[in-house]
Amino acid sequence: MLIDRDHRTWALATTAIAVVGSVAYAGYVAARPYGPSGGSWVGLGFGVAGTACMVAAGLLAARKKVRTWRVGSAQGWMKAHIWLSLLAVPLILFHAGFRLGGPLTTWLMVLFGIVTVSGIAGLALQQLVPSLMTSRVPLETLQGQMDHVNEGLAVSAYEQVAAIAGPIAEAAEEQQALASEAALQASRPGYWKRVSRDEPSASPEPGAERVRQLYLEQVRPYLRRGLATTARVASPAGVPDVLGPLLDVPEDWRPRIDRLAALCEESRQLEVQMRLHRLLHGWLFLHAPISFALFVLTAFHIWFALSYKPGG
Amino acid sequence: MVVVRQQPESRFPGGLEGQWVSLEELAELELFKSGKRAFKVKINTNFAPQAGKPEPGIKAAVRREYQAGQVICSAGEYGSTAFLIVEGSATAFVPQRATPKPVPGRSRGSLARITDMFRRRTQATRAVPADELAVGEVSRYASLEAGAVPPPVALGPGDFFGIDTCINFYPREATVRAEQRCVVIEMLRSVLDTIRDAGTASGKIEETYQAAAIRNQIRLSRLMHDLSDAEVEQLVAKAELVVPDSDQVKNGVIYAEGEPADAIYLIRAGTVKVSQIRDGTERIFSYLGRGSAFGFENVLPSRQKAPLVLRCVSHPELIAPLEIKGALTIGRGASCEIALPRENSAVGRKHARLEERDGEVAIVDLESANFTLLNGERIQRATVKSGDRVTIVDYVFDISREPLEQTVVAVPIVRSATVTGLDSFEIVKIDVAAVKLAARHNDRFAASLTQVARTLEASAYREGGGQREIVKPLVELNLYNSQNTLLIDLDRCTRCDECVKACSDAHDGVARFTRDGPRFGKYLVTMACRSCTDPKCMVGCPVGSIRRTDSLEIQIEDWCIGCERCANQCPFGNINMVERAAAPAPIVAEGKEAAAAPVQLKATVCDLCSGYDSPNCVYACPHDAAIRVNPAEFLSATDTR
Repeated sequence: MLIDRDHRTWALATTAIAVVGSVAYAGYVAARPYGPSGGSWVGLGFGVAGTACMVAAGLLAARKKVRTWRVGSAQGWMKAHIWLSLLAVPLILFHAGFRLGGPLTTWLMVLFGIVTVSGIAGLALQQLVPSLMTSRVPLETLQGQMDHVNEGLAVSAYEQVAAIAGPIAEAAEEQQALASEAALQASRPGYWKRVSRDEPSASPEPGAERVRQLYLEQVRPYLRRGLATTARVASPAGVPDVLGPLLDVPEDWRPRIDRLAALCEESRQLEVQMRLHRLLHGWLFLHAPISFALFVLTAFHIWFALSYKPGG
Repeated sequence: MVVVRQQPESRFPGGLEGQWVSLEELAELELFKSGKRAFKVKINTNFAPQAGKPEPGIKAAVRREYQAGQVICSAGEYGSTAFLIVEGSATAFVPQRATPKPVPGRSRGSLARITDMFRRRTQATRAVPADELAVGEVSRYASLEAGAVPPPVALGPGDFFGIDTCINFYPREATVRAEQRCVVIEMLRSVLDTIRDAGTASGKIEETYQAAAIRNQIRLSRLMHDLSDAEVEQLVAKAELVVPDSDQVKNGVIYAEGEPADAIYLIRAGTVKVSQIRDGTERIFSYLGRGSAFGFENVLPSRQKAPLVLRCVSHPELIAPLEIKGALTIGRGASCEIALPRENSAVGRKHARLEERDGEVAIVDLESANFTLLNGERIQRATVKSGDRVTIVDYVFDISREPLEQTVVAVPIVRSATVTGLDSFEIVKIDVAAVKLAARHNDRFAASLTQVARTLEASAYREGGGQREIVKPLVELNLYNSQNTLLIDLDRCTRCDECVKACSDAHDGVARFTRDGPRFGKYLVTMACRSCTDPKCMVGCPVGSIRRTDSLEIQIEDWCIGCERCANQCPFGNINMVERAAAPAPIVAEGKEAAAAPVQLKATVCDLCSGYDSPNCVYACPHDAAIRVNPAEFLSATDTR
């Protein structure tokens, strides 16, 4: 979520509460000759407030399970999640008196640190990566459709090359996909919108072999991801580099070569999208399960604290 | 189009609610008589009962009865049906402002509100207050205010009403109230189209529709609100309805630049583009929508500047005054347009040249030996204006705009731009002579006409700076036709798909939009129904199941037969076909194999989460990236978020 001026109220309220908490903590520390304690009334107060913030922030996950319920907009919940989580940091530290304590509380603090740092990292990524994806991937597609789109690109590339060089036996997958598409279209009513495909050339000209060779050696393996990012066409500069030798092809082939270059560029953008998508969502694989573990340990911590009997 | 293998619901109720009108009953009506076989087949398809059932699968026409004082339909309501009065009488009137019937609202009590919070479906009021909806208001590009309230129209047996809403899907313009017990047949568009195609009443329907369309448009136009009833009728008599199929429209061009300006136009439906071609490039001035007017070249007082005239003040007897048009050469050569005496050798053979281009005049010295002076100063090339003085040796010329006697000739006023209709449109064309006549007899109308025309001229015939940058992509993406589009701010969106999941949750597991589509700057124009002003998807539905009911959203009723026509007609691919719940397996004799039940499809479209207080895609977006807006209004304004 972008942190913009809409967050002003939350930011001010969080800061104000943190400042008040700090002042209270300073006064509390000054008044206790043996230092702060999480078990004191004030310390417990910080603990309860910090835990309440954590629980309220954690409820975002539950809110996402009931998307259509009118229990406040998701934006509101997200803001609450961000700011209450941040507010929990000083409150929990005040509760702990800036000490790690025993093994359980040490683990709690470690998990709490991981959750907080990963959350802040995620938030920072959300400030940058979406606009990066917008600018660097104009041909962005749905993440779930990535394989399907890549397959489509490979088929379109084959169509372009086959129209110059005739059917290519090595591209069996592409030929199969085109045959299935034709069969599906034939089964549809006449008023359906149809995809028109170019037929493979019946009598390829001699120079077509060069195009075919380049397609099989460079373009197809890249579109099929056999060469992945090491392929020369996998960079914006690489596409003209690879297809450059084809500059002297007959003029009527030029649109097809240009189209081939465009297909490689689209495929490259999808790869960028994939990387950025991982970056944008990867932190959640740490943040979400550790948060769950933190809540479990917090529950233990509360149970132990409540069942603690001085001198018992 | 995407076929989603899901099962949204298994209901298959049949058409309009009400008392079904049987084929036999309809056959008795004059308008359902036709000699054409195809017409009879269509009628049978629409009205024949299903085997073993007393009623047809889909009730495309129903009989309704209203008592005196009851409202049959209200102005401002959306809808998709037309009415035919069979018995009794009714009155149609246009209220000043219409308040559409609100969607059943939720209680405002605090306890009820808390309960509602946890109820999965809320029956909430629309976000837009009902009283903000002006009569016929559809969007910024399609706004219409009732300027003058037309007198009520009495309707009797055989009269149709509601045709505009049924055909154009605009909100109803008039409220119709029964004056006495009134029996009407309410019909879906499929029935109306059938009658329009071949029924005996097709001519009557067209006449009724066109007459009402022209009269209402003129009466409701702000431009005409100072006209008396008689004056309006005079204009109506000289008006016609222009549609894409009209003879005068060629390839959508309503008129071309340079053609005589013989009429003014009021847009009733659709959008037009005002443009000029210069140096082979189209310059688009503006896009005008419902409620706008154009074609005022012949109505405005002339602003054209008189041409500059060259008068020789030193030797008027030798050189006659001349209008400066094109290029004029001054010199003692025989080929010069302004020939000075040959014996004066101080004057060059081609001494100077006056060049006129787009009203601008320049004087150029043609490397003469004795120079050319403009207001006493030697020039090589300079622009001249009225009041300037040009001196060539002994000859002194004044430049002025005083017209020559022979130039006071009526020049036919022609169109200054080309106007092209986009998609389908309905435009009322009014003869300019009739408009001028009305203006001569009605000073207030004349003043209003000039004022409105000047305003329109100022906005329409100016290539707006920032606005143009907005308008072009708006048209390229067809957003001018949209009333409510789901945009996603890509700089905010983390591609978490919560919007799609929420849509899916709200619609029985089938999302009704795709988070993909063209981009407009940082906004993604998603593949979600745009609630078009002119919804092409609704045209030609054989059973009339895709329609607007009482609000903006397009609904596909459960009696959809899955023909996929709407899905194929939506230009944006925003209608998806989904599989209905599997029909019960047929009972077969023991030992025999049951035939596979045919796949029953149903079209689905974004219904703006009808029944919720706001669309779930927007409500569930945690990043404030999903917004539902009127794109023309939103994208042309500065985004201050």
